[in-house]
Amino acid sequence: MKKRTVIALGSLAFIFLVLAVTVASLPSYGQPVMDSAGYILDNAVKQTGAENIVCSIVLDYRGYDTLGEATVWFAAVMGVVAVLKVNK
Amino acid sequence: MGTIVKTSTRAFFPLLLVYGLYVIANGHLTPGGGFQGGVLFGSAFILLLIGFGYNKVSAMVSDLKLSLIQSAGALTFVLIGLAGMLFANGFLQNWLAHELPGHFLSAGTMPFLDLAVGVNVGAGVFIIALMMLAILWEEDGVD
Repeated sequence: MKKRTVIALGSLAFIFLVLAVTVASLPSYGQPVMDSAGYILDNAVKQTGAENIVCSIVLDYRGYDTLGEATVWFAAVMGVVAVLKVNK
Repeated sequence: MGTIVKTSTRAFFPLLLVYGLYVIANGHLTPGGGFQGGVLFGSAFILLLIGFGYNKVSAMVSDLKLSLIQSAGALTFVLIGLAGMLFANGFLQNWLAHELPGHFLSAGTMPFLDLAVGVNVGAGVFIIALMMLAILWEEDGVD
């Protein structure tokens, strides 16, 4: 066998091993049901003080996600301005 | 546009502004929030563009000012997050008092984050509409 084939097969086997170990250690499919959702439903109003639980998820529990969304939106608007800006 | 569109724009423009502000300000109490309220706020200005034409509206606002407003919104979001590192123990942590659920001033930093997102989204929607209409106006002279 060529050296390249050996390296390719070896890295494939390594990736397969890592994935197999990961899949074996996952909780079984669909279990536990609604774990994090149940936690947030039980504790959101007490922990964040917001009546709107969706808002407490978007701006508190997953604040980083909203920062990313705002950044994507900002970049999109910058792109539109860069492409469509008319020089008068 | 015709008289009917102009008259209904006059009627609906302030209504849409108030409704957008309401959705942003009550984001932590009722369904809605920064994104939804910001789009409502921006759509009020799109209605103005449709009703009164590109020339009149673009004479009132410059896109540089709008870009500055939008950047200020995005920057406020990050600054509130950074203040969390200063006053609490992490980026974007809720560092203001967040007791009294159901009150208008509750939920700590959330109303302010909502406002920042709303300014960012509302100004962005208006900028995009203005830019696209500017292209049409340059090409065909459509008013």
